[in-house]
Amino acid sequence: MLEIRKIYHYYGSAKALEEVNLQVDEKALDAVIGPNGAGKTTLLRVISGLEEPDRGKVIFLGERIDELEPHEIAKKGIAHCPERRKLFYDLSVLENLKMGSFALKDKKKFKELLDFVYETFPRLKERKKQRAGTLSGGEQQMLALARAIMSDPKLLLLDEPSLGLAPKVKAQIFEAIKKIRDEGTTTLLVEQDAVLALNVADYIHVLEEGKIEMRGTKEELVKEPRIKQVYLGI
Amino acid sequence: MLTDIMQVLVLGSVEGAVYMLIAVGYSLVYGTGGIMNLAHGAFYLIAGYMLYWYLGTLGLFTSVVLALIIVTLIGGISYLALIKPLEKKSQLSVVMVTFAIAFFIEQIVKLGCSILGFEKESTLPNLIEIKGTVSFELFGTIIPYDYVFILIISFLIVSLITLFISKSKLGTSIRAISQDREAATLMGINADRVLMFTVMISAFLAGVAAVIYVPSYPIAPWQGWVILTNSFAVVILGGMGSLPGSVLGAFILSYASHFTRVFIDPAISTLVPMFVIVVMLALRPQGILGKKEID
Repeated sequence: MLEIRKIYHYYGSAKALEEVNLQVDEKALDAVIGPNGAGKTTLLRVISGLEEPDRGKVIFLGERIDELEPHEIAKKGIAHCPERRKLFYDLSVLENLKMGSFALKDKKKFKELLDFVYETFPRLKERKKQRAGTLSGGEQQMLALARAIMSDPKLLLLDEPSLGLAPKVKAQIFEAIKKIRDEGTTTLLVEQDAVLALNVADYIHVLEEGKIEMRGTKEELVKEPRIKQVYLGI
Repeated sequence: MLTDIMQVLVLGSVEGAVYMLIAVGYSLVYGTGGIMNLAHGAFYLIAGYMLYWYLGTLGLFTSVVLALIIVTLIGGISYLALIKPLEKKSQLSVVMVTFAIAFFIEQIVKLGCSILGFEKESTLPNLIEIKGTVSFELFGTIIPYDYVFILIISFLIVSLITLFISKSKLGTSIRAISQDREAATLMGINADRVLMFTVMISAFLAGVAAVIYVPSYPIAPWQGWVILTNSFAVVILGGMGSLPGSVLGAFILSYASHFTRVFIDPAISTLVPMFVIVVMLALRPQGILGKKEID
């Protein structure tokens, strides 16, 4: 579904991504793990068009998208739930959700998605009239995730959905991510918390200093001594 | 004394209403796109002169409609052809290009007057006439019907714009962009297109201000700059990007100017906007109701 071919990206002279190849199959939940500053966020920003790669191609559903504008890529069916949420803080919860489905033409689909979101996160339904800025951190993350799925995406990009959340809330968010995957949405998750990522993802890519160093299923990766030592602390 | 107070109240309200229209658009464009549009006063100029040039031949209604259509289109074209290409480069080049647009329009207006054989500065006939008179008397002060019309139209238009921004989908996306442009583009919102709409709305508002005010206030090519300075003072006072702030700022500034003119000295009253700009930038750069600071 998504194919990234030999992507290079630099910020000035600083290297962010170097020859990154990555493929996500339809209905899969893939995760990219790696330390801070490894290039995980840059990778997602390149896919959604916020950064133009210096070299390489991004192919989505057989079509090259790396030269498109972010809003055009969004309309192709890629929803990017960005780092640090980036909600519209002065808009109400419901308005944020409506903006999420900005590109969606089908009114009936909007109702369905809204019902799904409210059922998954009853908190958001209770607070639909409230300004997004007044929500707690966990609720804001729920809203960011909900806003992303309101576009009925074919591919969902999630950037550190667990960042700064209490363990209980983290578990709740990841339950929702699994639920979204079970509904058939292809997902690419970027996560610093390797344990969480290994537990939820079908396939895991390890990104270090801008390069994919390793990849495999959970079963394959937990056998690797380096993964054990660096990411799992065992 | 009573007539003095009436003067401040009446002229203060009328000019306040006009500046409200002008400043709401100015503030909207800044708040949404961070664009400091120095051509905003020139938009007023275009609509004013269109009305002035057409009035004799096309009649009032057609002239007003045509003036508003033209100014709105010029707003859109200015954004697409000149502002947008520079926007990603630097804030300063955007400011410079809007400055150039303002100068260009001023010269076009002068040239138009020479070619078409109009005086450059002029007064237009009153818009409203009831039973052969153009004004009525209240507490010993003569008030043109046009003033009442100005108040009604400006509040009506500003209410409609506010409603549009708070309720419609395009309006919500305008607010979304003003809060987080990058996130808005991730939703599939074409920020450039929405910005073009906001510039068109702001040009339209300046145009409305011109067509209702020009019959009460002599028109002149240099006026664009006064309008610009005053709307700048209004949004600095009210808060850049805050629409309620612009409404509040317009009336405060207008009453203050007219109070100074009537009770202190007319020469000093023209300095009031400058005084407001300097004091607010020094003490409270985000304005009365603003959240963003000027950058």
